[in-house]
Amino acid sequence: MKSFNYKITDENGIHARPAGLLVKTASKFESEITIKSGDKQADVKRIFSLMGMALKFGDEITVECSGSDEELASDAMKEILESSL
Amino acid sequence: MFGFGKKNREPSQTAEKENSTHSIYAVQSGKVCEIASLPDVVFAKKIIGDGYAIKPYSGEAFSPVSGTVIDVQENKHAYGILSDDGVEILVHIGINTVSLKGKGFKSAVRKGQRIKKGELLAEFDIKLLKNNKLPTEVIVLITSMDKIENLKINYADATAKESAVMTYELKEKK
Repeated sequence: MKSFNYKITDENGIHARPAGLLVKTASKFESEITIKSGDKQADVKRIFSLMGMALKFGDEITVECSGSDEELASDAMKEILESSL
Repeated sequence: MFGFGKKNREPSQTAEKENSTHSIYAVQSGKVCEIASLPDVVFAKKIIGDGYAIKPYSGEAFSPVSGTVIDVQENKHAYGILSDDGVEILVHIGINTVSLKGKGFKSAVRKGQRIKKGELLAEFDIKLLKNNKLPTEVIVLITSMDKIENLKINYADATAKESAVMTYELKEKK
């Protein structure tokens, strides 16, 4: 498993639009991709799982990728988070 | 995906022919437009899913299907519904409306409740959106497109609660 931490810097947190971008990216990979924050967690391939976390500006998250392409998945998730959130 | 962007057949014709055809109704009264024409690439490029947008005449959004409310965004501008046939739908009111932080929006539902087609989902202040130079289109997207085939969209004037704007068939389970 590959994991990294990230702090949400988008003023509006993870709402529909950025959640859509994350799901699109996550869906390209075979690995299971999970975002955890506090006691909440979401499957990044499912938009309402992600939107339901209601992540806000300043929230600290951990992204975990697990599977045959976890290295690539982790890099791609980091890139999309840094560029859009 | 053939036939997108072209004038599609009336959904009622296909409904008679194919009893496995499902419908998603008008969330609003207004002109149905293509999401490809929306001024936001995430919607226009169908990154979240495929669907329709309606330029609204009034500040009410009605549930396009019967199902369960699976998400109410804190800023009350976006709603998730799991339809009774297992399709996930996002109703997004306006574009960049998250920035209003809930101002001008009133939710009529709570997460986890049942909702019937045509029941009030939310109210919103069209004038406030316009004053903030935000697009007012109400966007209805199928986010679980992997379950869908033969999606047809009727680009015409729609009547809230009554017009079947989209029809589709469910893919056979493998």
